[in-house]
Amino acid sequence: MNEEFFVVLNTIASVIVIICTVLSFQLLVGISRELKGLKTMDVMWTNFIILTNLFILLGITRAVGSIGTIIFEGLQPVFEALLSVTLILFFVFAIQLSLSIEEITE
Amino acid sequence: MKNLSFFAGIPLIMLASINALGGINQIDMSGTIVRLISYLLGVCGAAYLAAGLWSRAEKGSESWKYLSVSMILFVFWNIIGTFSILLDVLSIRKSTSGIVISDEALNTYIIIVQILDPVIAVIVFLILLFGLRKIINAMRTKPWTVFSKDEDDQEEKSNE
Repeated sequence: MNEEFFVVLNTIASVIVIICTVLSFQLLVGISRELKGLKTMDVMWTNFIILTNLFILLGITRAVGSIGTIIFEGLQPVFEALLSVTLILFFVFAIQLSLSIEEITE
Repeated sequence: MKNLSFFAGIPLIMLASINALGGINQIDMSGTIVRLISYLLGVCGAAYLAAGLWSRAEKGSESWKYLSVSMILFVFWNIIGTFSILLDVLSIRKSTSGIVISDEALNTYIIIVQILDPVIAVIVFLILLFGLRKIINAMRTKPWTVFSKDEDDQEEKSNE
């Protein structure tokens, strides 16, 4: 398979991911607006919103990174570092959210 | 106690093997290890969260299942990312490390990883979008169904 195929595939995937993340972010804003009606915001919802935001950030970083490296290869380490930091933060908040979900389920 | 001391020694062994590498400079290798660790942490976090969300879906709204499936696919995405790092290292170090693997096999694995990576990324974020849409619809129409099963649905199921 030639290099152009992967460039096209990555670009199309990145564009779809960016569209999905932007729409997901709008939905997340809607969810947080719904939650504002409640006087006390649950810890679980706070963690859920933070985690989903991180997940969206992860998708955007990956998508922008894969398009950015096609244009300028020097950007690759920067995006990889950002991706690593976001993944580590994702791990922390995933554990926190799981624990708060377990508390509600019990 | 002996086991503990062995596990504590693993980072030292890794560092020693990094220093022993001749082909790749040390900064690149430490960057690669950070990436590898972050991907593995992503796998652990996403798998734990997927299990939590799935158990939530069993007792509450089905919309949590979409997010759980999205997290399971995210686990696969991270595993593919880990493999791509390992393949990158292997392709650079093949000549010096003495690992016997043909160029054709290595190229095939790299192509599979390069195709799967964007495809899974798209599926993950599409499912996340549908999951969030389901949750917000449930919150707007029947907010009590977000955390507990709908009584009408339960009655219908029991009648069947």
